[in-house]
Amino acid sequence: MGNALNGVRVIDFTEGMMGSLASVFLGDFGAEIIKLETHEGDPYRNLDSAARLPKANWNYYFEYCNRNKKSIDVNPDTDKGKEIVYELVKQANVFVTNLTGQKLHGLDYETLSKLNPGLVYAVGSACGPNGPDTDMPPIEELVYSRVGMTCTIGEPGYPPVMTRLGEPVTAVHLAYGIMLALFHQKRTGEGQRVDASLLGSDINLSGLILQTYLGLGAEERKKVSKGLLMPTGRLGQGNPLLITYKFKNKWIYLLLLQPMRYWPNFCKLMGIEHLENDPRFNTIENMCFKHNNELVAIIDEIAAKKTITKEWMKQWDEAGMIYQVLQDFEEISVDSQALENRFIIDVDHPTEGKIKMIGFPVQMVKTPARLARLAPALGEHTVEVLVDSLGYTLDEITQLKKEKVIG
Amino acid sequence: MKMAMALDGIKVVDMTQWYQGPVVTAHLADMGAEVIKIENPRGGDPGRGVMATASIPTSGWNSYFQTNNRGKRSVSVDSSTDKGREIVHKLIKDADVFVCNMLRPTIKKLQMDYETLSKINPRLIYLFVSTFGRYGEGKDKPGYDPQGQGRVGVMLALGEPGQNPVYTGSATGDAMGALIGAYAVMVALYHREVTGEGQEVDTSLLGSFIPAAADLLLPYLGTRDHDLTKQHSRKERPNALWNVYRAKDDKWICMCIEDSSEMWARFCKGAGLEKVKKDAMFADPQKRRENSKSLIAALDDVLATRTRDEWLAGWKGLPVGPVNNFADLAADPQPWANDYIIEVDDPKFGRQWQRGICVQLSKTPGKIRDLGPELGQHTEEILVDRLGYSWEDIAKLKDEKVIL
Repeated sequence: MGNALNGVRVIDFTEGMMGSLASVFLGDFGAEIIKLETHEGDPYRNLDSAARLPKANWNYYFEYCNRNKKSIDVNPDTDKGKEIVYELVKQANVFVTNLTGQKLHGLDYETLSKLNPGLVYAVGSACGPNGPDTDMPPIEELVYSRVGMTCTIGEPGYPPVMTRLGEPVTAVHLAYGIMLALFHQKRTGEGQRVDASLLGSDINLSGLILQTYLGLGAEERKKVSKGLLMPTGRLGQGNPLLITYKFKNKWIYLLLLQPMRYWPNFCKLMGIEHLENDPRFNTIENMCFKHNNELVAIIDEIAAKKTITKEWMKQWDEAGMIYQVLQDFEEISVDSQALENRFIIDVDHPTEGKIKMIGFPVQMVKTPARLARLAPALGEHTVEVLVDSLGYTLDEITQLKKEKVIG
Repeated sequence: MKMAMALDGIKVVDMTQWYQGPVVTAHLADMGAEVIKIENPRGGDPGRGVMATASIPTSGWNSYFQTNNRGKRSVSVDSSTDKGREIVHKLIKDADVFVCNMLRPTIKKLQMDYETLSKINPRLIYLFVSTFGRYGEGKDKPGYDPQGQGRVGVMLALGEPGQNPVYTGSATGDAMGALIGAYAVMVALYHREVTGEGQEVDTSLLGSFIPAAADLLLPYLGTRDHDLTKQHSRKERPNALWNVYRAKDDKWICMCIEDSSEMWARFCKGAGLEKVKKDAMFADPQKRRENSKSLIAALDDVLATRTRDEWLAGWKGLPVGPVNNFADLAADPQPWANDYIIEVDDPKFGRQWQRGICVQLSKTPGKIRDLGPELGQHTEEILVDRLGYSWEDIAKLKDEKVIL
């Protein structure tokens, strides 16, 4: 089977997750990704570079963010190094970066698009290319706090929760933007700059509830608070059949969006048939608005005594209940649904034996995503790329090494 | 060839409902694709009937539906009838992309499955959007947004120990699934542009939420440390300077400072924290790490003595910021300057605020055209202009309730 992005060449000048992961979404489908690194290398080659990343025997973070890539180690501040990068850019379809200032070593859009007018130049940033805050540090928690979503989640009275979804989600936004621009490039030959940011991505991710706020009239916006400006919490949700419950061994998320339709079956399953016609719960109005806290308390008490088993789930499935047993990270990592679909993959690692890695969210029948290689060592492919793509001789390469142009 | 938008000329036939599916094609419409939304004449997409989101009643207009379906045209046709199916199949003939998120058995019964449609148009990109993916025991199960994040493990890992599981908010998983769907369509379209080959593509809520959770999930996959599957208190953060704090006015501050002697000095100076600074327990980064619990407690006490804005004024240039709400966001110039929030002037609904364009393309920027269509608003136009039906045909189809 072929790869969807065969023949697409990407120069990846990134570090961390937001930028590096964007090109993974292209490399998984067969684009050739050349990770350009300076002699120091991407700081995330060392897990110690970010205090929040717990220690492990292998670099789970770098491995995921740099799979299916080649690494070349070039000093772009030397004339000869610059020449190497420029030549690669001339042959490339895409240049992707999340670096700024000195770390970008002058490889900006203006410079590179002159060398290659068809180039798609993609930038991941904190807050986008326009407006007063273009140089804010790309820290997900700071940007997420700015968006306001955290004020709508969790329970009232608790500290704001940081969901930390923004970085990988920005990477997908950037990959989507690159694909749009690549398609345009293929059809017209025209290159352009593509931007995605944590701010734009966190806003898109908050889309439904944020739109609820944005969609109100100016006067109504002044009046709203609960649910939009502060969390409703579990009890403020309204529908008592649309919240989480703690059973003896597990939490479940009950998802009975139309409560009255499911209520008789639900009563049977929970052993509360006597409440089926109870006037407190016999209409949506009564159940969801007038007496919801009473019903939640009743269900809480019963749930706490029940154990969720395979048999229990079978009964609930047969009765047409929609619910989700909440799993933890350990459970998803061995969940057959995730494994059979390759959302999580088992991989042989040279030093660690079998490891688990995040797999592929998109299933293409004719051109499936694949793991062709693990993350490269720093400069692992310098010689290969210089010889095969740029036609350097081995003598020239020896000389470039001596001059410390390449590592 | 000159094109103003990246997806000029791309035709999409859309049989989606609710959020994850419709937002895939809304993304494509924002970038210039022509999207024809096929809806049954008996009310169409159930998203049209949403009376409230986040417990806020839809007022005057259904902001949920109108936003998820902006830039599309609605053709109301009963595709369970022979004549209705024929209309959709005719549209498929010169379509580039088909997107659906009904259940597989339903789509098969309607004869809108890949086998049928690819025979009509082998170049078609067929995107099937599901809850749990193409394979496995869950492949045909219906589902809602919380089932992605609830299954992935995020809900049990967020929040304070003992706090109820934290749902990351309405449709975050659907929004991610929609984005992954749009990206998948583009990968397949690119491949087709090169090879001429169409194909079947699957995306899902579960498959999309796993990479969305990468920042939380990777440390567990790397260490298999069971402790990382659980909730952790903000009072026990290893770096006290990477945390949230409550100010005097009950507003929260988000602080993301990598601790170093220099940053610590700037932090203490900006806040006038001379007493904390002098404490021997907090003398250097290592001591602060060892005593982070005490430092967090000390900062909790101190930071509760002034308002949020007073503190932030002293920390200019440090990675510290306010925990905002949506009202603050709407007053923030940054999202407006980048078209992340846009005001549109819609012929039906007037001036409305929209969540904007999620990626910026310098030469072929996205654009919000009209907001969501009325049910069947474009049926006649498409049938007559595109498919060559006569007005007599139309009248007959209406009589037979094939179209609205």
